[in-house]
Amino acid sequence: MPSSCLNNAIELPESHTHTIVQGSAKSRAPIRKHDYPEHFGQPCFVCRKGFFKLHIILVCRSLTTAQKAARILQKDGIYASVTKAPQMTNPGGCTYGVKIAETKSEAAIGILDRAGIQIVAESSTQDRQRYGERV
Amino acid sequence: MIYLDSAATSLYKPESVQTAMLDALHRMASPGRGAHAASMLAADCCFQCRDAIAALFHVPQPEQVVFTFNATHALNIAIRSLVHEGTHVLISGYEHNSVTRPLHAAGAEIHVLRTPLFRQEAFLAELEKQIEWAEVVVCTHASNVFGYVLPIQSVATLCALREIPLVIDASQSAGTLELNFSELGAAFVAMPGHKGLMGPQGTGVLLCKNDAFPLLYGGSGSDSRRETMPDFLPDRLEAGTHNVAGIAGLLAGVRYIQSIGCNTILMREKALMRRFIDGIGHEGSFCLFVSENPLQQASVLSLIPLHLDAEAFAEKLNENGVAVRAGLHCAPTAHETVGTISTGMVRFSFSPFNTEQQIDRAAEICRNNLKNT
Repeated sequence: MPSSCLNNAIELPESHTHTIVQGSAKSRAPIRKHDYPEHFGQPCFVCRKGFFKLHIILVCRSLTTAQKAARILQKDGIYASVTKAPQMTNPGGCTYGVKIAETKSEAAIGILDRAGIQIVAESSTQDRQRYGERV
Repeated sequence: MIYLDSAATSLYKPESVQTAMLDALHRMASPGRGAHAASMLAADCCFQCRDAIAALFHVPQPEQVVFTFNATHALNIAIRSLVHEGTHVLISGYEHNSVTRPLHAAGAEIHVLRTPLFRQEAFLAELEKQIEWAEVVVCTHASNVFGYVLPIQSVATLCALREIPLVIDASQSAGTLELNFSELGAAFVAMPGHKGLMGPQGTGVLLCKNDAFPLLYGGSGSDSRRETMPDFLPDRLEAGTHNVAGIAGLLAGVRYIQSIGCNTILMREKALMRRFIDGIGHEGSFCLFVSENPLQQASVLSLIPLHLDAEAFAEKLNENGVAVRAGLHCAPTAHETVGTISTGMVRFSFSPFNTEQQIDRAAEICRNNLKNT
């Protein structure tokens, strides 16, 4: 699994580590680790540059539906957070969606489909300039 | 003060209600109006409240729980959704003005089922006779004047058989009497947040089976490009900024009820009511309305002082530190049905937080004042 802190799109980091120099002594051991999903969406505290995370937003019809969807996904072990959806994803205007790891998208869509939750749109991970979130 | 007016508003509330409201005022903004932390915190609070209410009343989806300002607001939405000029509406003889006035405003053809107090069988028989021509039925779960519990499950069954939409006014029952929205199959159930659910004033709830017609138009935080309200719940019926502090308080109230149980609260209130009835005795000159069957009466009790005006008696009680409600209780239909429209009544309603000492003292004050008339 690659781990770096570049302002480039990377594979979903399961962990995000740094090698740092403390005084004159060199240490190759990572002193802190960002574990996914606890630190999902948070900037790297070491380099402070942040990094791209590949995610998708499953756009729902309303905030309440997005909240329900997030809860269902969390119950099924998929980390999901409610977020405002990009304007271009919903022809009707403002709405909310659930942000999830791209790798979990297929499973998440299946779970929500079985729960009867309508997904209005999906943000495209192929087009991360539009939908990728830099944090 | 000894507060015996919980049928109007629950003055005594769990401490958690106040704490939750203060927390909301300090930390929460508007749900659905942004994605920042203060907005999302408010959104989470509202969702938790919808979810808790859905669980308490067995509502399939949290989207079906709509926040309103009070039960009257909720009933207005329900009636506007179902009733138009000339719609034949059947109502019980124990309805509040929050039902009758919107029906009159809509131009409905209203027929009132005037059946005797505390006679569920008579009510059902009359309903069965007259339901054929009804297009909508509106029925209170418990009378706000007499505490008379109407046989709402049987009413719902009769309506379901004929596919007639039913609107239930659960203003006096929510939080104390069990109410299963899924089993009832009602089109709407309206309730206040500030009575049995122990939330603050300015909160109400409408449980919706299907779609409804909006009463207010405005921002919903969704489908913003459209000129019309969204076509999905709850956004369709929730225009404008939510009463987030109120909803936070309501959530705390509902959680308290869930932790104690509706039935425990009802039993406590009815035990206090029984104690009060025993306490005022039979020597005074008053007429008391008590059901022979305790299951047919919620913890609301009314009496008529025979030699004193109801308002004057309530004023005397108030001077002695007992808070009650006198008059027609915004329910002239109920008073007409029972024949008390000219006198009005004095209503005593109980809270699980009333103490036995309060009840004994209030009964003593009543006894003394009724003896002196």
